[in-house]
Amino acid sequence: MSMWERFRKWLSQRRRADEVRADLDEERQTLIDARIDYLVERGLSAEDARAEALRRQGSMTLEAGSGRPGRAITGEMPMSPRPFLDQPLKDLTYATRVLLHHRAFTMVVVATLALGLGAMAVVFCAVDALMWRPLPFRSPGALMFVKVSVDGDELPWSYPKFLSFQRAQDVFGSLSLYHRGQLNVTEGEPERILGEWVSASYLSTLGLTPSAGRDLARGPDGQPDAAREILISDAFWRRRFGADRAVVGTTLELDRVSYDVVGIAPPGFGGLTGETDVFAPIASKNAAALNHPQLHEYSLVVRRRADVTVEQAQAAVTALGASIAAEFPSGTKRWGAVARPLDEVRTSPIARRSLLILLGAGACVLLIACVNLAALSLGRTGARQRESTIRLALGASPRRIAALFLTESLLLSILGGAAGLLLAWGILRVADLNPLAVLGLPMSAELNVARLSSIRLDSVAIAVTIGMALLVGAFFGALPALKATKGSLVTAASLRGADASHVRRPGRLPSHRLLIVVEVAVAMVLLAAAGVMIRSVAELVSIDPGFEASHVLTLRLNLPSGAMPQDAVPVFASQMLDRLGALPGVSAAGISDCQPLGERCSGTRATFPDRPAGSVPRPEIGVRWVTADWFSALRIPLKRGRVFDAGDRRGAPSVVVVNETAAAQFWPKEDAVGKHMGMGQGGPGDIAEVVGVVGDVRGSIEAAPVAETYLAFNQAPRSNMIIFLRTSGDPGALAGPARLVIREVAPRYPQFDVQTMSARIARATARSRQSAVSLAALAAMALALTLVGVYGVVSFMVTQRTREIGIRLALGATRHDIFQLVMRESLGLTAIGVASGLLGAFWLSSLLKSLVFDVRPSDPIVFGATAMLLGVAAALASWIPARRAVRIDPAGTLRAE
Amino acid sequence: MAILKGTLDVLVLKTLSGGPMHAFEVANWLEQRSDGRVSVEDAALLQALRRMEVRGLLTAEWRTTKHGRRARYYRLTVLGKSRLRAESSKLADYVEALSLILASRVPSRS
Repeated sequence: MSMWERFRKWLSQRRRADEVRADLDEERQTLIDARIDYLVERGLSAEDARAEALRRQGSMTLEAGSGRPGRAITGEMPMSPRPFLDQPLKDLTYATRVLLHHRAFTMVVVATLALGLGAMAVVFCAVDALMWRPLPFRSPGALMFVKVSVDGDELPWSYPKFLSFQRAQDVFGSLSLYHRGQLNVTEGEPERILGEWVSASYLSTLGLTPSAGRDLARGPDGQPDAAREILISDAFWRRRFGADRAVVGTTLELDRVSYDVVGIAPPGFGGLTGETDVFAPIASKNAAALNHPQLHEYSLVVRRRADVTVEQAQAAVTALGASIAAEFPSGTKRWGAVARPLDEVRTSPIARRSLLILLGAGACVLLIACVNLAALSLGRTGARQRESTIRLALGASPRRIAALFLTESLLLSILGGAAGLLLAWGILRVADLNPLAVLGLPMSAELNVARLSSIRLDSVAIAVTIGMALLVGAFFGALPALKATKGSLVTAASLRGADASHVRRPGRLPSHRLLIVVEVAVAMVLLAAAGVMIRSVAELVSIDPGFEASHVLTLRLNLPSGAMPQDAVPVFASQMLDRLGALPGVSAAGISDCQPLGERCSGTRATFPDRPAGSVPRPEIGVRWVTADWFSALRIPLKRGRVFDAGDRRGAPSVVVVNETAAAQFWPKEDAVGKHMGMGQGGPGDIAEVVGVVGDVRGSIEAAPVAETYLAFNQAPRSNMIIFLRTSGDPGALAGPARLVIREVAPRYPQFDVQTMSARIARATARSRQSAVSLAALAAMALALTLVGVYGVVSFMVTQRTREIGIRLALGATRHDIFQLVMRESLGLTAIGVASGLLGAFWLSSLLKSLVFDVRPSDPIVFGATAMLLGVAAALASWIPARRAVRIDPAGTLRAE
Repeated sequence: MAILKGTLDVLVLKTLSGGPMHAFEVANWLEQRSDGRVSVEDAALLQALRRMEVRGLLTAEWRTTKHGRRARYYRLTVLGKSRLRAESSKLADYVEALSLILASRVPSRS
């Protein structure tokens, strides 16, 4: 009887027994009632009659203590409580006993699975959180992201263009602009916060509602300087106001403008740019920021109408883009508009690619784990064959034996899956995900909704892992075992199952050899990819950024707009720098508006008074505002001329320092010092004299230096400053004293983002480093698993050939011959694996191209080293079984026959 | 007087040989036939009825009594009738043997 039939029978019996019991209860009641009627007819009082009737009931229990009528009445068959589970439970008990008995085997298999499934689970969590999990908005599939396109580039919107777009479109039910900005709280404790300027329809477009208070009022969106009201984020509300609901209805002063706090955004929502503290209506910006048609600053998120498909919406946007381009003519470029589903753009293409590569690497590790599992299971085929032969001989059906092996296999895989989940949980807990945050995974400044903080081991990940474990168990554990049970009755009827396998020559078991080849090939691909990434990171780290980062502390200070007149800023700054420079250990203190590496600084187009306008295209240059000591704080070498001095102040003739690239580009074969140039809109406006040439500094670690100019901070002061302090000691220890000094000088201005320069550089290279570290970890796992796998397969082959080796020895082969025999075979297979792995790695190398820096994705050194490494590893793994083969006792083997 | 172990079944079969009855009628009939000397607990009676039903000696169906109440009426099957014949002759033999033994004089060996 199959388990299913047993289960159905058990169920129908249960149902019948219940019916009988109910029937019996009713009958008992009718009997009591009949007796009461009878006794009352005989003249007893109703009460006495009832008492008598109840007394006559007797006890219904037949089964000891169960309080229920016995089986004789209910017709149940004598059975265990859950008969359909009898066999599986028995199998489970047996499997547990087997696994406990073969402890070493069990541990190796569970560890193998734990590594493979654990790695896969972690990768899955990351990919799911960043790419797959639905965005936390109402019907996120309808949300789209619309941008202005210009010659293949994409830009945010300008306000007038948006208004025109909004008026003309009919495919979106709701549209909202948003734009990230930094704000300063200028009441109470000064604090620099992140804000978003948004349309009043922002929350409703995303399908969110405020958790307290109300949404932004929908005034006429086109009116600048409209209502001054804000929503605050849940996180900001908790952090700044201690989760006090009374804050709704009060005011908050930001950059010296008072805003009404009208509501609190729902928990977990930090705007589409992420971590936003305050949402203010775009309409409260000033007219200048809103009325300029070429000020492309505002991102646009829209919700598609339910009856419009993605393609229709995209077509409509393209058409509208052309008409808007006609309405706002500008230059010779081709303007347009483009719409994409929000879900598609939430992760940048490069992050998407890193994640997919990581997913592939995780799958590779899992695949190797599976191959190992198959190898290990095959390794036990001998013992299994014998066991199943005995069972078959004693009358077990092949199905029973299959069930037995399957149970064992599934038990193993569930154990492995559980261990893998534990491992994944540990990795996710221990691994600091914060540095990953600068992986900049999604990270345009515009859109940062797929956040690393949302990576966690959730029920989906757990279910997927257990599911994978069961699949793996079924395919890679049970199939080889089943194969081993098949047809073994005839060959092994002599009950010498293990010996009978000698009859097969190793050549007739290609699956073992294939396992080694597959395993080595997959490991090769993974190791090669990791190697290329590591090499790329090594290149990155060894790059000279053009300055000395060690012993430098940096912190930011923002002057709220209108805090002091422009002319007062240089005085304030030099006072502050003097105080900071007097701190013990500080040798130089400078200010710049922008940090080298990892940030976009200002740029403009240069003009030259001695060259006729229009004859040559005006070249692009970077512009930075720095104080003289900034160069010495970062030890940027002065090549020619001078840096700024006390004479370069407001009102004095404008001066500029250029870097070597700029000098070489603009004045080849000439001395740049003494020449004149203009920096257009961003610079002093008029023509400045080049007074010095300094060494190149990289703006981004991946890119070669570009032409840059440095303007004197004291001639054109900026309100956002980064202060750089060079110290002889530990820059981290300087943070406290430096902050104190600044607080004394500027108590009302928020300072933030205190970091050592080394930490800033680390951030700039974090993406590449993280990819490399993750890949390397997975590759290390792959290597370890491959070692185990090769060891397992070679051991098995040696066991299989025990008799053959014994005969060879008896016939005069030397121990050395035998050792060579084993090693030659395993290394030959490894070589085939390495070769196919190399082919695979070449084929896949194009995937890596966009992720690596300054290294060819098919770097011959990396590939060669990887092949060597695998060869050595395989040799090591074969060494032990080969030694064992050598120690085979020929006489003993032959006697065993 | 309680019913002796093993005799209830045959008494019930006997009772039902006159036609279908429900449990209370069976109990009452037994009591009156024995001049109130034999009484049977409800539980024991119901279990005996159900047991014999499972064994195919009786069939049962729910019907309405003349008092308008629902009751489960039992009826002998062919198997039940033949069991009654066999059991009552066996029991009669046994009772006869029993009375012979109890009536005989036991020689004293003092």
